[in-house]
Amino acid sequence: MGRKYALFLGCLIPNRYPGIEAAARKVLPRIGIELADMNGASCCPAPGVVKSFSRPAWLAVAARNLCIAEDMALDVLTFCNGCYGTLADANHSLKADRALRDSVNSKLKEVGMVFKGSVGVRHLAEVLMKEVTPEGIRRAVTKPLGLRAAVHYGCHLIKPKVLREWVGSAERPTFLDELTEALGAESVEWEDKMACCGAGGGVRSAVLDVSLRMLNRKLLSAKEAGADFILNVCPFCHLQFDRGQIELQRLYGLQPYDMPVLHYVQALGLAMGYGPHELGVDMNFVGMDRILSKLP
Amino acid sequence: MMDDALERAFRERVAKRFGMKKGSMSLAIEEAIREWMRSEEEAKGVKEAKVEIPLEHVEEAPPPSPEFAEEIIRASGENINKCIQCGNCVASCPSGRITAYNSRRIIRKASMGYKEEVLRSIELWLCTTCYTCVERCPRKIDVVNAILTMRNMAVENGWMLDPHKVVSMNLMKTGHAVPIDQATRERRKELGLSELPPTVHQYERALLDVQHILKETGFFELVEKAQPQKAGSA
Amino acid sequence: MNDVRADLKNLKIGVYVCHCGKNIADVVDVKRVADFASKLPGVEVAREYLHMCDDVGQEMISKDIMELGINRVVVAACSPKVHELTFRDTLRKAGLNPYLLEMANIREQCSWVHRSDPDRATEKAIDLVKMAVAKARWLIPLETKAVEVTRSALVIGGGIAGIQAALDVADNGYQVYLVEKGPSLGGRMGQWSKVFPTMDCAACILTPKMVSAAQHPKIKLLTNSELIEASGSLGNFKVKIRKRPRYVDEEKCTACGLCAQKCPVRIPNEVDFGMSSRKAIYITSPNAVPLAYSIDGENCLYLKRGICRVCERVCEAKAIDFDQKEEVLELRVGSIIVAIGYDPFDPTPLEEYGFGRYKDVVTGPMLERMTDPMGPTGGAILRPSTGKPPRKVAFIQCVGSRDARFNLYCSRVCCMYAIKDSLIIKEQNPESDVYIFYMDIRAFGKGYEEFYLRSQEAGVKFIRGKVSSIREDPRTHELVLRYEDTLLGTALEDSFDLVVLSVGQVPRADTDAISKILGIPRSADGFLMEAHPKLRPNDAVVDGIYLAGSAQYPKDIPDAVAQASGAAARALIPLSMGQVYVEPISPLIEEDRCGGCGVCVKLCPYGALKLEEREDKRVAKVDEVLCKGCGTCSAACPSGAVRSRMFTEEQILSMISSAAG
Repeated sequence: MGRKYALFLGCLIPNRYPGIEAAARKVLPRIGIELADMNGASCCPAPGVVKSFSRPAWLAVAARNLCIAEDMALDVLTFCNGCYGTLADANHSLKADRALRDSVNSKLKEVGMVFKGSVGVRHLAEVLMKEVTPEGIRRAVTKPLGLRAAVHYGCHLIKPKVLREWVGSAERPTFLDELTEALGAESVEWEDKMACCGAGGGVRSAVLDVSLRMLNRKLLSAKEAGADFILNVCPFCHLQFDRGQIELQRLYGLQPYDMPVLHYVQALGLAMGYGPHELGVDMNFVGMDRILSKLP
Repeated sequence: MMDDALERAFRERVAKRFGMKKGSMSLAIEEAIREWMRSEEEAKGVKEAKVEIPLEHVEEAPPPSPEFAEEIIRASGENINKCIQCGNCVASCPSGRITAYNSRRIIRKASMGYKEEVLRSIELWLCTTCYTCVERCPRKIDVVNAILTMRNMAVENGWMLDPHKVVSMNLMKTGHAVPIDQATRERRKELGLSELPPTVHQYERALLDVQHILKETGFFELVEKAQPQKAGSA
Repeated sequence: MNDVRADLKNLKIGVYVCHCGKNIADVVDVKRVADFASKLPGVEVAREYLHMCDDVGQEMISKDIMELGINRVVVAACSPKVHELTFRDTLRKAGLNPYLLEMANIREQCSWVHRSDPDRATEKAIDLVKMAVAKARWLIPLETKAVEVTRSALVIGGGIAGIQAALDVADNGYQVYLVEKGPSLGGRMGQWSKVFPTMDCAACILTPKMVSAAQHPKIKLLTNSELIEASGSLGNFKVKIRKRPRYVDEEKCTACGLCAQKCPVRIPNEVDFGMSSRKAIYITSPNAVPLAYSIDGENCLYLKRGICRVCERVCEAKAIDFDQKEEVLELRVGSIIVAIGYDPFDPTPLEEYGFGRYKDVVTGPMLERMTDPMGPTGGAILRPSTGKPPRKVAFIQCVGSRDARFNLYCSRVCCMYAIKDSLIIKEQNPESDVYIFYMDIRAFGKGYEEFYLRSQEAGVKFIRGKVSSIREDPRTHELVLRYEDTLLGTALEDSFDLVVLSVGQVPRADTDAISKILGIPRSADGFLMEAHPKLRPNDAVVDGIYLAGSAQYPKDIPDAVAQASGAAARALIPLSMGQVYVEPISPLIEEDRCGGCGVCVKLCPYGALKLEEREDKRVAKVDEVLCKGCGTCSAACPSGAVRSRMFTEEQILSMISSAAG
């Protein structure tokens, strides 16, 4: 065991939820995932917005980010579904389509870069499932969570399935549930479990009320299923679930859901014995008291 | 007094219709009066039954352009003409469940060439790109790819929603769609992280490179020419 | 073959370039091709014309043969598969040996595939014609040979199509071997209760046919049997049939059923798609033909582990016979009819519908079994989870069909069976609500639109929209369907207590094996391919083999029966002709040069070659009936003694050198 990856941070993790970054830097090396910074990386760029505006710009900026990892000769590791969607899909297109690669390279040349297609792009969930394995996680856990988790996969992690061979099923995947149960938590069945959180595609930024109405359905069904918290593997879903609860309360006067939200690396950190403050879980908009009091 | 020319013309018509015989004139006058009264009656009725349609609305709907579908197919590689209008995408859509967003209808309109109607619609921006429809489409159409292509075309035509313009400006200015803020700088320090992440935020040279690439791909121009479009609820 | 060289001096080649309407002429400059051909050595005349295959075109060729003394003909047109026989006939009628014809395929292999580049397509057409002319210079007259036919037929599959085909052939007085893999005739139709659009009881119309087939003096019924080997060709096939033991004497068994009552082994009943169970000694239906029990060797305790034999002890007729052994029968037949049928599509991979996960999501065929008075529920349609009649039922159409993720084709029966079952549900419980979710209702058969109307009048609701997902409400255990009513343009959600997936037909699991044994190809959809989709829908691609029923593509009962009768009529042609003409495709073996090494004998994929003793040596000898003319022997012969008549060395080398030059 033990593999080194180029850590792609993106925007939301370092610039809004640094707790997730802190958790990853503390926790992952302890389960054999070594991280190397991709100095000078930018926005992935976001698939919902930038790709909607200009595919050429989206592809070229993504290619630049991939080149940084190529220079490091390391596969890219991300724990944001959006960054994963952009980087994995751009990497695939650039590797598969020579003409596209040539046209992007003509732009990269001017900044002294060239896309070679020499690295892969991995989402943390994939690496945890395939390399660390749920068994490996179980061994690292010292304080099993004992909580009921509403596991949220998100969309770009598992779809489009043609580019996500490792996922198996896009309708009913199980890997994140297995990884969650390895933390000593119970993954509950909840209606709309596989539905989108509502944040993607530029909807949250432009048409907030539509985005929040999608979120409300998810929160309602997580609550009905008796979940203690929502577990995610993407800072944008994380932001939507966390900040969205406050917005639903403020804009629509809904009763607070008071539903804690954890990124998997934070949940893993808690199960490995780190304190909530070290993992930045207390920096969420929604308080964590409900679960912290239940932890062993 | 009756106009001479009119009277002449009338007499000629009467001769043609009824022949040059006695009583023709009175027959013709009687018919003319009847006709006039009927038409006045009818005009009144129509006026009452007719729904007023503002003229400018009629003018606003441009005729379909058949090349539009071809343009989408060329740019996306997605043959939207394959769609069998089964509605599986709409039923699978988390957004369509709560809004008027109907991917099937967008595909249909695009396929039929209603370019402006599609590209200017707010519905086009209600897809969260969750790909559920893509997985289930019985014609294997990558609906998201088609929608994103149409969005690209909308932006190219200067139709971009204001909040999206803001996100784009962020990216152009800082290299991050969501740049760091003061509160997060404090939190980073508290967590023992560097105040600025090791991204373009720390490396100015890298930011210049990103900006250069964005300029080269025409992104700056695209965003600058975009007309202000109000985002709204659907 | 000496006359070949002599003929070279007096060569008079005629070249005929076809426009094929616009098919060729729109892309290839046919005039340029003909002009070019007219200048080739040995070419006497070169013409181009709208449709060489029509009367005027053929007349043009025969006139040239008779008036100009043309003695080699090159037709540049479509694939030889389409019209080689037509033009051979033209030559024959004009008094020229039909094998002095060569075709250049400038349609399928040129104009159709190079539409975007007419200039280079024309160049290619010129090359193809040049090569055909080069080969034509070396063509030799050949003779077809008459071979006696074995006047009997093999029918594979004992479903309605196989039964119909067997009866038609047998009624014409020829011997039929009817091979059925299972223990009884009946096939899929035997599993259905009522059939559309007449709503008559399937058993009532099928059973008499099964009995007639079994009792027909000209039909030898082989149950528990399957085809394992085949060789030969049109008129003379040699087949091997493996007959698995029934372990029950068909003559003695009275079908009293005591054995099954006492048999301790209980396994899922495949006839009921696992909704009921059966014993290791079983009968597929009370209407089974032959009406005799059968022991399933896979599951019988005695046959697996040497214990039990309860059935033997209780059988008063002493019909149990564990000494029966597997047999391999060798048969000779003149025609083969393939009627192996279909399997219902397994909807498990459509995870969004939850089949296998939710008890109350069933397939159409499962519902069919419920409507059968002899089925798992005694004819009542019930919710599997509660055993109570459903109040609100949804049918989802096109499950696995018309879906590019699975099968693109339309399965042709599902609209009608769903409509039929909707009527049965309404009959059983008029208070219940029935919804059919469809993309298009295809009611194309006789009486089908009327049937559709009947269900609308009965209050069945038709919703145009494909259901996107099914979820079971954990509290009410109702099934929640999401769909868009596309005619209203509204996304909706509704609850049902029984959901029927209208699955279509897929090629039967053993289609691939049969296709390999008989050397008959499958089409892209996996079904067995017909010789021509429009003009030879009953024939397999190999002469002498015919297709009946859903082995070819999804069919309902009327279509399967009609096609079976068609296939029988086709299969009867060689049998009633008494002899068939064998094309001169088999190799010519020059005994003087043959060293008797036997390389060709070992390599021949059809077992058509063997060594024969002569006075001083052994020589290879070809069986013209078995030979398929593949040319393997000719290529392998170290002494050049084996010559393919239609592809001689001179012919091939001259084509190559003309293409290269």
